[in-house]
Amino acid sequence: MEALQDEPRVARKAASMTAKRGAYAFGRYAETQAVAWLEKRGYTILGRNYRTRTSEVDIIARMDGILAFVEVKARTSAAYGLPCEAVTLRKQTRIAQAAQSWLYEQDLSDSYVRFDVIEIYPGRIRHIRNAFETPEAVA
Amino acid sequence: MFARVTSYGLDGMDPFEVSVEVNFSGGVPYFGLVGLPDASVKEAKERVDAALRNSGLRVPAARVIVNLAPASIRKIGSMYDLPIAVSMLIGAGQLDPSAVKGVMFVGELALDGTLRPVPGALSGALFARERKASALILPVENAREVACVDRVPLLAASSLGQVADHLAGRAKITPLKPVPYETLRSKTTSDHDLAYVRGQYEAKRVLEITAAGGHNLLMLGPPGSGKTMLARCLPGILPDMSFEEALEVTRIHSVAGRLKADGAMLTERPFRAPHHTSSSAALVGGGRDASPGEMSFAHHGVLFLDELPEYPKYVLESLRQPLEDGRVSIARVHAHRVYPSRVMLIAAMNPCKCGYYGQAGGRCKCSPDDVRRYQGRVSGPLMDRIDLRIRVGSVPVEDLSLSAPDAESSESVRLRVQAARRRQLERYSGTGLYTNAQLDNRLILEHCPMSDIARNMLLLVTQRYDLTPRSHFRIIKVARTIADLAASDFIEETHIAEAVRYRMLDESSWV
Repeated sequence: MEALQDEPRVARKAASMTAKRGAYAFGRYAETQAVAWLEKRGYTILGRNYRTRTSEVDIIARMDGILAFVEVKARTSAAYGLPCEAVTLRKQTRIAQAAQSWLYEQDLSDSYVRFDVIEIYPGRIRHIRNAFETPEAVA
Repeated sequence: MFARVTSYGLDGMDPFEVSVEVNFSGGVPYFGLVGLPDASVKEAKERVDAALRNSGLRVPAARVIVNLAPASIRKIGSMYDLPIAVSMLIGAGQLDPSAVKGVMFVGELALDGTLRPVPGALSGALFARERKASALILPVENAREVACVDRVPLLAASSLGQVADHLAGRAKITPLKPVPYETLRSKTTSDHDLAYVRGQYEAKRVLEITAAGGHNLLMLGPPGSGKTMLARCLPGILPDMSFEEALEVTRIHSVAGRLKADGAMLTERPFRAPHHTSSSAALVGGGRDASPGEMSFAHHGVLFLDELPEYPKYVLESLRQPLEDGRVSIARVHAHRVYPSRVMLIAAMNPCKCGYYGQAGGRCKCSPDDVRRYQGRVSGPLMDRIDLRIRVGSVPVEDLSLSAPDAESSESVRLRVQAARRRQLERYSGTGLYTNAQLDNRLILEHCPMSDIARNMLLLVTQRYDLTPRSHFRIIKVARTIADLAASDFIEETHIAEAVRYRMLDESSWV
């Protein structure tokens, strides 16, 4: 390790991996907060971190017969813009694809579906219902 | 859930029924618009979405498919916003489907849910009446345009919220009360009155004949002799538009979105004076969507072409067929349309490049060749379609002096014109024609009895000047009008003589 740290390139990589691991943990922590928040409001959680080879969705929840596919975005500061702004069209497409494959697997393709975003700031949480529509590429 | 709402589309001036169908189903949320919508229709999605939200109406996330049937005809415009919004409310279970039974909807939505006016509302209202719709719900700003349409309940709404309240039975909209056409007609107070035109007695006489028979007219004269002024006086001596005429004229302007700012029905005969740089598409109609041109905007009115030889030749030639047929048919890739174009063509021109050929005092510096070339810019076939030609010369000084008595007013000329038109209407009742200018050769034989002397005179003229058959018949039509002004059933030799005189200009110019 000592020797390796002398090599600047490797050192940078190691540092970034630590940061990544930190971000991952932070993300997991935010998702857990979001799940708790949803459950408190009467949602039933049907799945977490559902992924296929190309797509993923953070939380699948249900209330009043409507399925919500929820993307959780957290920020420690506003320096990089609002959390919800990070849900780009590409991300939306991935979520929608994940939703379709989940619905297909569960044989629930006729259900009414919504795409939500939960934003988490330090000490604050915001639930945007129906945050976006299925992108053209998926529909 | 499925819902269907009725609306209409416009193919040129002709409305056709459009069913707006909506299906709500599960699956990932999506809004799809099908049924050959063009860009302006596709944008409805965003407007409808915002308008619903801002009207406090909620439609749940779902897979929504909107279909505009018949799906094979291209739909253009923002007029489907309202029917789409209403059908979505029904599809979402927020309105009872029975509330829209037999009701037609049209209107553009603003993002805040207010309704914006649409083009072609009059055509739509007449269509709703023809289809025996139980009501037509349209934007309140279109109310003045459809004010005269009776026998169909027209509901003018100002917002989507108001329409929803009406359909839900919370607050009914009262139908518009039809206004009689006569009350709409304003007393024409034109700035142009024959009383202000000094001298030019012959020109005024010809103008009267032109107006009485619905003929075409060419005025030839030096700059400043009053050609333009005379032309502008013409609408003032034309008879009032009948209700049917006003409907047609308003419909053309309406589908093109060319009504005045107040959106009211047009009650005065159009006077269109397109500049000589206008393209042929601007004049006869055309463009990607085959929209109407000046000839159709001047329908039942006056098309004034000032400085006739300055128009590009192909533009003038494109007028020939519409002038003859009274309608323009325009074919484009995506549209084939027919618009009416029954106009009185009034043309004005200088006799030569410098403008003074034929004037006393030798002011004209043009060579005979120059003159021929200048006049040759107006082709024979077009000239042949102009029944009346006249020289408008300079005015004698005694007529110009302020002490000279005022000339006869447009109003008193109009009374004579109206009387002559009434004779024509009676004579042609049942044939669908209004004026002598519209007569075809067969009807001329039937409706233009001539005294023997008159007939001999006409034959002599035809031979002497080697007139074309069209010229021959056009002289009869003008003579018919002159006889009508004289309240004579028979065409006498004086009528023929006068008609011939106005066709000839002089022996050196066109015949």
